[in-house]
Amino acid sequence: MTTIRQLSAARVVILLLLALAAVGHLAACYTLVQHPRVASLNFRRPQGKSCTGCHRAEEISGFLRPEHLAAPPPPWDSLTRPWWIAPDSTGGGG
Amino acid sequence: MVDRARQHRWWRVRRRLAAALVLACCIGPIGPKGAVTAGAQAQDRAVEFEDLGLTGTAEIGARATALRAFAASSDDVTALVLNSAGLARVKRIHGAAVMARSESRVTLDYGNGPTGEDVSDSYLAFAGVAYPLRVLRGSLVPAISVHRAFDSALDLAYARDNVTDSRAERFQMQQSGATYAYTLGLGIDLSSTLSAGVSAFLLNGSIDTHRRYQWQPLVTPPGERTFVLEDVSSDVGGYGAQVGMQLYFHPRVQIGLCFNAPTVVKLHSTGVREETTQIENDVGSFLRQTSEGDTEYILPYRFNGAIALPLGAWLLAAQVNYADWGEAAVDGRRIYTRSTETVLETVLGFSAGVEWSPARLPVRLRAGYEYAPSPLKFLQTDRIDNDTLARIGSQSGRSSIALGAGALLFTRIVVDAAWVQTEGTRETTVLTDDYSATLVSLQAAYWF
Repeated sequence: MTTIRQLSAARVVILLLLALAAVGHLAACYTLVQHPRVASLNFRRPQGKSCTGCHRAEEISGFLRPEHLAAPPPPWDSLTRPWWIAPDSTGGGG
Repeated sequence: MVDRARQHRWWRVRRRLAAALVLACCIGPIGPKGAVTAGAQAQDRAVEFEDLGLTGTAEIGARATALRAFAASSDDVTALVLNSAGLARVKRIHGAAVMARSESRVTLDYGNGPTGEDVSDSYLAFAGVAYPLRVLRGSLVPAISVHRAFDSALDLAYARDNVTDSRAERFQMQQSGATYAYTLGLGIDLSSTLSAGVSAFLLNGSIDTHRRYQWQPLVTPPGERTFVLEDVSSDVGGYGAQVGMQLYFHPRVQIGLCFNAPTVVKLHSTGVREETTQIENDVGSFLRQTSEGDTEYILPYRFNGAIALPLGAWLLAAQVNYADWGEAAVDGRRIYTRSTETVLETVLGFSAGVEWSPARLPVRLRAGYEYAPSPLKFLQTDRIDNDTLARIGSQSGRSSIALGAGALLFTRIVVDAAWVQTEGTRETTVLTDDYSATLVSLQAAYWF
């Protein structure tokens, strides 16, 4: 029986990368790079439309922030705002 | 009695010359110390892991350096090295660079007074960029970085009467060089409470080792002296990988796990050795040898488990660091004594830190503590022949205390500074080894 101790360093590295590639592939089910069912919204927001047209600001924040991750105290919380969301609006992206 | 001692002395000289000639013909591997390691048993090569800095931990990022326990709370580009899952928390395009200055000293005491030299260096410790991809849910953050993975600067010196080999000897070793890791990785949210990350790196560096030693017989008359100079230059390569995860199962509790695969470190060394033997009646000899060879070191699996408690303005963090150094190998061979005992052992260290972020002030203050035991069970007490291991009877481990501060400037620039003092002592029946080091690091980061 092969144990992890018998695996060479190179094999372990390759297995780690393959495992994470597989997990990353499956994880796309959670992390969305494409808007479900509305392909026109992928990465490039049409002029005159914003996320807030369909989603509440709290929803958008919740989409992009882990559920139980406590926000850092101000003013450090400004560093956690996604760069593609304008400071004066939560609907700048998407 | 004198004749027996003289016969023994000549036997040792002939043995050294024979080993040197074998090396000159490029038979057998050579290590970073060149000729001397050629005849060494695997057990005597364990000390090379420490001499080359392979047992040390890279100091990445001024915030992590001061907090000491960062695997659960890493949230900037340094997460690529410390726990790649933390990349998933980076929401802004972000670049950072860390400069550091270290001063260290290894003091050896064979019972005739401590000797040691200071080694100091200023260097780029880390530079990296993280680029969060635009996503509609979760997080997907690739990053790239370069960091100083191994610091090989070392300065050793001692003089003593070696009763075992019946000689008075002086030894000095000066080593410089460092190895950098070029890392590429990715962090991703797997669920609303779980992030994962992976990174892989390539190593590149160089090490220059200069050894100078001399001896003369203790028996009367001490008419013969031998002087040896060794210069070895090594190019360093290698690779490794890491996988990590961060779990946020409660707003006040975060868990971080990080697994580092075995790291392969390859050295290609070229060396020159000059041995001059001087006898009272001006009859002597001179031998010059050049050599070249490769050595492969396998560093073991390492595992970090951490917990972070963000309590409003306070962040408390703790971490355990595990590595089974008994799995380390040189040129494919594990390192055992003749009684099949491993020369390097499993280590379990721990660290803890606290950070205070006063409300509405753009500053942070932090402090940390770390205990890191040495993986070596034995010390090499004969650095000339590399053939006398002495069991470590007691060791304090290396203890580090750290202080640090950070400031947010213009809502875009973060400047962090850290100061760390590390001390450690190991004792055998014949040798005491003291280590002390001071590190100051300064980090500047821009959040686009």
